[in-house]
Amino acid sequence: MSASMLDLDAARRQSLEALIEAWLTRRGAGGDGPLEVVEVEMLAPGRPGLLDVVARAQGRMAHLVVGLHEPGGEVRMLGGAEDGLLGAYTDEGGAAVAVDALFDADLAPLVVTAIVGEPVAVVSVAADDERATVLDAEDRLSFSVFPWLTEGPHPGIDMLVSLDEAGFNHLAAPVALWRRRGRDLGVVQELLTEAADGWAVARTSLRDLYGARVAPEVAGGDFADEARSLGTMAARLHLGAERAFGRRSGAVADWARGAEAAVDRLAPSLGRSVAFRRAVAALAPREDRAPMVRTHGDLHLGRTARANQGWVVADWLPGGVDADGDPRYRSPLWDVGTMLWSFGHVATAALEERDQALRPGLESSAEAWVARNRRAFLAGYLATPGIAELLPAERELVEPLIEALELEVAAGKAEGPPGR
Amino acid sequence: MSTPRLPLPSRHPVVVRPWYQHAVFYEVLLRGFYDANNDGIGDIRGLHEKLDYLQWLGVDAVWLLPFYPSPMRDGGYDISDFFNVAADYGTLGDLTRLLDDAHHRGIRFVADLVVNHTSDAHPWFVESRSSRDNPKRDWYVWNDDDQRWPEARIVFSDVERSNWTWDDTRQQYYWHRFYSHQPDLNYENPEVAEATIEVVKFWLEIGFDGFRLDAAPYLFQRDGTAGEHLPETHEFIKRLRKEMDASHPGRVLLAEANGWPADVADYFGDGEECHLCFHFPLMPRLYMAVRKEQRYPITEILSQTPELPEGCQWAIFLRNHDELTLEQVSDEERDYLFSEYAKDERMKRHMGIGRRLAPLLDGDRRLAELLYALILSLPGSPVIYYGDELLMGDNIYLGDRDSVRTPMQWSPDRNGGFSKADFAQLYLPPVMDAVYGADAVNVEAQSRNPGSFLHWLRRMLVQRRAMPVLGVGRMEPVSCPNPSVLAYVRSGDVADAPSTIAGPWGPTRSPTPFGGPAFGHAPPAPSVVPVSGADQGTAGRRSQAVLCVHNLSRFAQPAELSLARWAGSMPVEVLGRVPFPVISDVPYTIALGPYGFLWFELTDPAEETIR
Repeated sequence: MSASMLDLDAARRQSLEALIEAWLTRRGAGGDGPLEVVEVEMLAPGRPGLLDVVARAQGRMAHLVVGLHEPGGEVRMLGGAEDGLLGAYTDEGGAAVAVDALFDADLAPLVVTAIVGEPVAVVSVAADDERATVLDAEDRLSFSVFPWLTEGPHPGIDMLVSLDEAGFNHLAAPVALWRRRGRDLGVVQELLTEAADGWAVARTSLRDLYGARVAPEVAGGDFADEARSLGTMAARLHLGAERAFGRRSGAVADWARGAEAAVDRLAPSLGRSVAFRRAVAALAPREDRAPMVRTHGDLHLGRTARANQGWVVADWLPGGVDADGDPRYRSPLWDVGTMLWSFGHVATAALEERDQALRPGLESSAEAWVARNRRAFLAGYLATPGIAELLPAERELVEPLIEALELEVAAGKAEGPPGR
Repeated sequence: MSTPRLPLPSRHPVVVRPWYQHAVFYEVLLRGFYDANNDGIGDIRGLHEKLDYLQWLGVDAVWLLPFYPSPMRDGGYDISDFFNVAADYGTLGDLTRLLDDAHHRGIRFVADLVVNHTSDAHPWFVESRSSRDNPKRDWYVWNDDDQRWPEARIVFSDVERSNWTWDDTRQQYYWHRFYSHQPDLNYENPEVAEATIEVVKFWLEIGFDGFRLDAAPYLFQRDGTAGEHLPETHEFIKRLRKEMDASHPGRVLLAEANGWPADVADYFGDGEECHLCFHFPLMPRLYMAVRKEQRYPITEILSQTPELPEGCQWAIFLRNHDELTLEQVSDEERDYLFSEYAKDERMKRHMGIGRRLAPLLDGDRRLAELLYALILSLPGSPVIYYGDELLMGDNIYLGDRDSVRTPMQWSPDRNGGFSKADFAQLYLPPVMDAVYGADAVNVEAQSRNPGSFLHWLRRMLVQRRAMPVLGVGRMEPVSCPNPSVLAYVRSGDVADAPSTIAGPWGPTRSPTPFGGPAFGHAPPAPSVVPVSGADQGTAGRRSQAVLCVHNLSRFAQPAELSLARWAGSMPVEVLGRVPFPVISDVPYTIALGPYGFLWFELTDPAEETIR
């Protein structure tokens, strides 16, 4: 399928802007801000046709795929998304009914086909949020289209592709990257049919534990093997990141002081932890330097998935970059901290969903579950060949550093929006 | 979306599948099944008397454990005469009559045949050990020292310390992969291969429909290897198959090869070795999955299971006459399964667990139903171990694997209705505890109770027969975000389920009406019409798709299923024929009770009549 950039006359540009307005409203992003069509690529000419549109709207770069139908023809929207009808549009082919093509039962397969380069017949919408509209194609491909674009590469995709090329295979392999003029518009990955969210898998274990009221090591749904595998995956991620992006070094004392400052600023109540203060006190006077890599940045259970081949990183955001989009190098133990934090978070969340009357006695079960899986995760992480090279040379610094970073993570999460 | 996406009826002739690809097998321990002469040991006439029951239950084939003369030091797997029936079990005449009658009922028989070794009481071994220059001196594997082939593992490592045992008479060591009283035959000697083929042809002439090849991987040894799955072994099996196909077409070979699926698949060859192989690694993972309440133990092993050559099939099972073997799991997984299913040390046997299905599951019927639903719907031909259709118990205080080989419980009468012999005469004591004893668990009581597990399983077998795609269809995983839910679609072109199944002996199967006197009389036997090994089925052909959804958790679960590929089709629940809402392109949500499962036939709602 050929594709070409379009030059629009004023009338078409205006017509297209109306469609973009409708699309913004549909996504809950409507407003009175300025709107500017940046570029339009024709993915498929004629009727049905496809236009890929990038527009500057309300200070962000919006991205939509407009589908064009012959007026009077049947329009079938996926999942009953009737608001996917955007309006009317006219071009050299005449009048057309314009739709959000990603939600059109006939056009969504054409979009996937245009990007993948091979025919795709059956498509469904697997997810749709601010980050991406995800289409599953024929139970074999997963196509993520970004509704909001970044200038330059998408950090999550950049990390996904770089780590894949670096031999890290705990991921859904990228099949095709949709990139134009330096912007990542979407990505096609293999679909891991049997995958389930890491949060859900951990919840399965906790459900069993809370139901059985036994020690976690004798519960049928013991999570320790999974936690250990997660640790191995995290270590391999960091080894892959080093291969892909290189290594830097930082001062352990700086990290400790940074953690202390963050905790004091964001969640002072957490700072009352004796273990945390001891950890900071042990690290702050040290002059040791330790390796830094481009970490995931927010590696927690909810960003992982359990698939047939084991654990995978399912969500690559924030993609190892800071708020400005610049690569961020940190101790790999930062990601360890985020994962360990999520163990506690999921145990608490699962507990809080149970009836108040049934909770007494389960708090200790939750603590035991967290402690057991923390040990298992660290065992898997620290036993991974090569990972020692990325940790402080003085091994006694590892545990307090994890303690400090984990609390820094917790402080940041306490400050941020609730949820997973 | 409203476009039906059901596969269109095929315009191509449907492939008529061989019987074993959609058969349900039933494993019978002869001495434990039914004692007709009241000597305390089950026998052939006893089994013959119970054919009504097997026919009523709806099994397609019986796998008969060894019935040959034997010192019985290993449950009959130590054969001392390959050409006869143990006197305790009856005569060759009894066996012939049993097979004839079974065939007239459409029930096939597969014999367990030990080809790897014999008893040390077998005349071949007696002769071979007698000197170093007798005619059978090389029929077994002899060596001057016990250091050869150190890589070969010791299968019964809890009992045997070496695969070599010293023989005082011959002043040499002999090789045995199992017990020391079971010397391995030497297949390097062409005379041994010839003798085995002769044995096979003998029993084919008697009327068996095939063989389960016991300990198939161990036939040959080679320096520097573990002595398992060697190319020479495959060559011999190919030859055996070729000879069998030539003289008795349509008969089957079932390999007992306990190994990783990729290794075991070699026993299918390119379709010119065994017709069936047991899928050993799947079995422990079924138990693991329901304790972990996660599908991954199952889906992982299925994802590593290779495609089958045409005409081949897996045999899948929950339990059998051996321990629940844990050879094909990691050390951590074995520890886990021991901790979950063998809390008492006495429950452990060799490298496994010596318990029956029901006690393994703490008697949880819902869980038993779930596990049966899995083996009835996963790719493969299910094998049911005798008594497990009742959820019989075990006796872990009996030695070796006798814990799961206790007498079949037919009624609450003396000895569980198994035998009228004195209790002390019985080959093993029946289970007598309050939960699983014959007073509580027996065929007679369950057959009178339509809500019993026995009736439930029988209905499931009827249902499975109506859905041949469960035997031969493709398996397509269905994505579900809930890790406790295992869902898949079995689909393909099938012949319409026949109400009668025609085997080599003509169209004979018709379920025996049940009611009144248990199991009634068999229908009159039709004339014997040998045709082929394939079920002809009367019927037309059609595409069939069955969605199977299972909740592996003891808690109720939601299942959001990605079924866009089947958008437009209407799921009809198979047991009640209840139509469910039409599938669309959005996730299809259903709720499953604890350990619940639902099977749906995916139908075209435009059809006036739901199949």
